[in-house]
Amino acid sequence: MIPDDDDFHYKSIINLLKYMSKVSAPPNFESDLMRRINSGNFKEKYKVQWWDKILLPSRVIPSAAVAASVVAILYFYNPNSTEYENPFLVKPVMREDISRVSTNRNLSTVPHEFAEASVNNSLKINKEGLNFLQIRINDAERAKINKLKEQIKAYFNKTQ
Amino acid sequence: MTNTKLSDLTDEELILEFQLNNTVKAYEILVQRYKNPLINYIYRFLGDYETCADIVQETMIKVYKNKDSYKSIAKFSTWIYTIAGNLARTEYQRRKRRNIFSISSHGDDEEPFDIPDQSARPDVIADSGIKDEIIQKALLQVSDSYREMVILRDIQEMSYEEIANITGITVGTVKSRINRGRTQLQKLLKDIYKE
Repeated sequence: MIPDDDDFHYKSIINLLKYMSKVSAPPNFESDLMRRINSGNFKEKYKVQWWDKILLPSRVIPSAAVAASVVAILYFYNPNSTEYENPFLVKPVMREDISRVSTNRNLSTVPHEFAEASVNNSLKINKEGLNFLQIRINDAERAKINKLKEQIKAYFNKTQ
Repeated sequence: MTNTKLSDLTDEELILEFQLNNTVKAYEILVQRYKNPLINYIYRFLGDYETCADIVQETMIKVYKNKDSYKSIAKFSTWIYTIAGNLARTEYQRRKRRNIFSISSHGDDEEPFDIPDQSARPDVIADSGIKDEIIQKALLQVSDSYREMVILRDIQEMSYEEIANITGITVGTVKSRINRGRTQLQKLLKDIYKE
């Protein structure tokens, strides 16, 4: 045995182990052995059985963990479950107030401002709460917009 | 081949002689050469003299029965240590399982129970000092995978390559396990060894 750096580092512990007294075989070891061999008594007391290989902790622990996981998955997973919903196939949730305006004509259930709009057959838009861009316009622009409005009104009157 | 000539042969030559000519004397010489190193190895690993003597006998019987399965590409010592190591490891695992079951079967009645400490048998420690006994007890507290490596390296004085061949793991793993085992031993034996 060629000592290396590690051996040098653990020199004291190695010396303790190296100089432990040597244990010897019992005096009748060889005679017992040859007697067993000559009598054909090969019954193996310490034979490595197949379950010894299987029951190693290094194999039992991971196997048990895998088995437990499989049982847990089978317990919680039900392939016939009706609760399962494909998120891509689920109808989007409708906003209650909008759906009422567009589909429900029963005025008693329509909010006040929308009911008024339905009666007049035109929708008054309540700007409150809407997120729109406010821009300041000058007089010339306002005049131009008013002119366009007049033109649009005239066009609609003409077509009706 | 005469007896005097046989005893001059190497282990590999002896097993070859046993394989080819069924020379029982060659086998007996091998038994003579290996009985004590193997007893020492297994005893340090298991800490039980009776079991260790049985395991070494079983090893020798395996060598006798399976002599033809030895291939001369490997060293004879590697082969015989591998057989003995496998038997010892199996016995160790079996004992561990037995201890677990016996402990769990005692679990309900809260009476204390003792696991026999066979390392303290007087016939085993008769010619060794208290120090030896303390070291042996500490050795048995080291994790079994580290303990085996430490015994092979520091008590059996084998090379890393030989240990790797016997245990079937890489030289790097052997080195790291030896050092971890030594560190554990250092902690356990801090009172009796001096830096």
